[in-house]
Amino acid sequence: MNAIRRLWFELNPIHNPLLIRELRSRMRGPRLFLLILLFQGCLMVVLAVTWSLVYGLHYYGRSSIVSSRGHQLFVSLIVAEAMMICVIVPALSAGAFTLEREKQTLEMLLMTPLTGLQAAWGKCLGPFLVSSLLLVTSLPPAASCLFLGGVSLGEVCLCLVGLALFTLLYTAMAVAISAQSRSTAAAVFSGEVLAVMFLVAGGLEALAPGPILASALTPLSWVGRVCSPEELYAGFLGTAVPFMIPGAALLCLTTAFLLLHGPTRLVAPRPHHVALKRLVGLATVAMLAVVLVWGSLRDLLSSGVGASFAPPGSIGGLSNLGGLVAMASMVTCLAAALYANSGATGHLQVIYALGLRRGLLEGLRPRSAFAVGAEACLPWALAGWLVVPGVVLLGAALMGEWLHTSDVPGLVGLFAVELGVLLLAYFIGLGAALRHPWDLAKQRILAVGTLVVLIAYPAVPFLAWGFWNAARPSAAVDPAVWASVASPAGLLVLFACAGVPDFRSMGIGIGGHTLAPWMAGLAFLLAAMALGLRNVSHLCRRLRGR
Amino acid sequence: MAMVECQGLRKVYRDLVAVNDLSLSIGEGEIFGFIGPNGAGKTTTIKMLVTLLRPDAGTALVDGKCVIREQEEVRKVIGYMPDFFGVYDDIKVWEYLDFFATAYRIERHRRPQIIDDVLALTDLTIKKEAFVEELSRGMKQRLCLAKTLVHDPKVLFLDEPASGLDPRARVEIRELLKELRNLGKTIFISSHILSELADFVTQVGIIEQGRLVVSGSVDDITAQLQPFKRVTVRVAGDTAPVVEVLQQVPGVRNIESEPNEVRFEFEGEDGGFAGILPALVSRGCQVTGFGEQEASLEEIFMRVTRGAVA
Ligand SMILES: Nc1ncnc2c1ncn2[C@@H]1O[C@H](COP(=O)(O)OP(=O)(O)O)[C@@H](O)[C@H]1O
Ligand SMILES: [Mg+2]
Repeated sequence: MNAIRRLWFELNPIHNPLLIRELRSRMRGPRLFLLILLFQGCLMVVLAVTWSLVYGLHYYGRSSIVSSRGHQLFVSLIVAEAMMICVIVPALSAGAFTLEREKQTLEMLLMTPLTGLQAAWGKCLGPFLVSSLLLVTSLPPAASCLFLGGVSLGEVCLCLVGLALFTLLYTAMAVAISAQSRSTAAAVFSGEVLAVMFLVAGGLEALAPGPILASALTPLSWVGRVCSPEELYAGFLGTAVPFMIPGAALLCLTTAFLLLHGPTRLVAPRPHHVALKRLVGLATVAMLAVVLVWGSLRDLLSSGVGASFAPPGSIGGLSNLGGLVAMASMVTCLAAALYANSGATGHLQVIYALGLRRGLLEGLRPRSAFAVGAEACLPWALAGWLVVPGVVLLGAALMGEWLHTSDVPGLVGLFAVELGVLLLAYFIGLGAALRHPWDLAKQRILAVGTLVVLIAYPAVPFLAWGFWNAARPSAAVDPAVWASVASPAGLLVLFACAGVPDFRSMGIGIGGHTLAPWMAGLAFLLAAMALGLRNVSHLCRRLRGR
Repeated sequence: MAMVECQGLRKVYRDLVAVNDLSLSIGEGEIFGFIGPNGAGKTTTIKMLVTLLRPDAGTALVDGKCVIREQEEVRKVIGYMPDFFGVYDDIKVWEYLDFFATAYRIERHRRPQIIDDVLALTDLTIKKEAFVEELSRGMKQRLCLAKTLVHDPKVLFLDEPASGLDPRARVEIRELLKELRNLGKTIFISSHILSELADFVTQVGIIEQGRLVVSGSVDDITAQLQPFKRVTVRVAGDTAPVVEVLQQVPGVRNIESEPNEVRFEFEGEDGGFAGILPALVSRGCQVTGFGEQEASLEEIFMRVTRGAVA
């Protein structure tokens, strides 16, 4: 009872000094009004462009894909809003604690009896209210779509509620990042990257022909789910709303977890926060499972979006399972590589502390130093590889084979490239650890940065090229296939696509090009090994030279 | 009961020992001057006492509460003014104070009165509606002191409150501190300039390179560190006879002679000291002045610190 009263006190905005101060200072001067003006201006441009496009499509009689002008306008409006919110929110809120640190006001703030939850909540509410104001100012254009027809009041409300929930989540995310960051620049950068990743994930999900995992995970898929054409969803209230409830619950729980966990590095959490955090964490995971499993099952079993992509003759939406799991495996592999990569550097730190550096200085041969390092990270690499993507992938292959949908050589290729990526991650981590033996933060930035650049750099344009080609069934896709071989991420996508019948039918995947990706994969593995060896021995020599 | 008490406090940054085995005890109502050159470890010590830094070793109690285990209780009874601080943009002076009053959970109806009180105390009443970033540096310093007082703390930790101020603002701060002393607050104040504190502290601690070199009440330290007297004799005419006389008095050393003035140090019984002047006069020296130089805190400071800068 006491804990609940305390919690109420902490959450009550009237008692929150940070919120009061934020509102007082933010409302002064023209900045907020300029922001609203800019936001409205961008919306107007988007609406004007969409209007002319829609009008053109109607004019040339190609409107069969467009349900109605109002619907089309509304979707572009909401998508534009979602994108702008993604960009604006981290910029508004990622400075929450770093700016206090930079302006030397943080210590005085920490000396007050403000709790971590109160601080995070106050810091979150300010930017959230500002962004909500932006959403509210977009109501008139949304209402105009309503009059044009094609959208219902329910859809408009649900979209705005969804956007508001995502805004809250992004704000909490940025505030949590801010509490962990050293500088505002870094916090804004990470906040923006995360938010854009969410957006891009929504975009990918729209491209991926497999069953949609969970519409509540990204704003774009939320909008897509609410505004999906009627032929896919029989009745708006019948299908969309029940799905939205667990989705919205997941968003709220994640936000709550971020608020509780975010500032723990700055302010020691109170006992009732620790208990609450555990509870919320558990509930978040459970809700995530519900959303993922139930959402996927719904998609699979009803004739959902997946079915519309499936080639004729396959068993409903189930045909895409192999492809879905291959995609999931790829994403997990990249995440595991990034995560374990920083883990490996931390591991090396310990070895360093135990005397590897001294060993190197006293003439330990580079090769044995390498052995020590490898001993530390290879188990991680193998475990990461086997447990995370490996098992998922094996299941996918078997399942896909059973359903006659997957391409086993393609999946094996994916398996191999994933191992390559993980190895590369460890070698890069090793290099970073040797370069900055005492600075864990620098090691991580260097290692993760190098890895991201190495595995993704050519992928972006080539993937875009590939998808663009794939969208025109008559076009040849060979150049895209060859080009994507140039980067590990491209390879991963290529092999992952092998499991997706739709892509196979479009000519993406290893279909007729079995040898090329394989050779590229092998070359990539060898290059990873060579790079690792070179990196380590070079650094050993440099260390000893000092 | 001691208001601030610490035992064996220690803080290490990588390979630099910033504070080394520091023990202190400050009674209620005392004004403790914490003095040391730049980089001596004053800020580090204060941050450990105000719970912002975790000591690597040792214990510290403020008002009987442990700064490591009972952080929240400690924070309630202390006010801390950092050596460097910033202010928020786009808010007014009273809003700034209202912010801290709310953060310290002071009820809404009590806040306006408290804000007026601390503004009056720090002489900022006329600036109540001004924007914080437009205040002068001295006013900002006083405003920071005002925000430190909103929750009526028992102990104040002020880290170099007068640094970077012009002489006038310095005097104003000093007057303010005297008023706070009269309100019965225990004050822990650091400075690298001794004369700033000399006339109103009751206790001093001198820190150098992380070590507390001396601590105690001002008089005790003076007696302890300067068991000898420094004397100046002014004469009309030649100083040579004076020097001659002094050389024969036991306990006299370091005689320096300048035209019309002789300085020396004397260590010994007061009886022996009393005999010097009659001896000079009886030899016909034309003494125009004879006096002991008061040993100032400044001198003690120069004596105990060896000029090594951390
Ligand atoms: N965060 C830190 N990291 C490393 N060294 C520090 C840090 N803070 C202070 N120091 C070092 O500790 C010593 C004491 O600093 P400080 O307590 O700020 O001195 P003072 O306040 O007496 O001028 C200085 O040599 C300073 O360089
Ligand atoms: Mg200092």
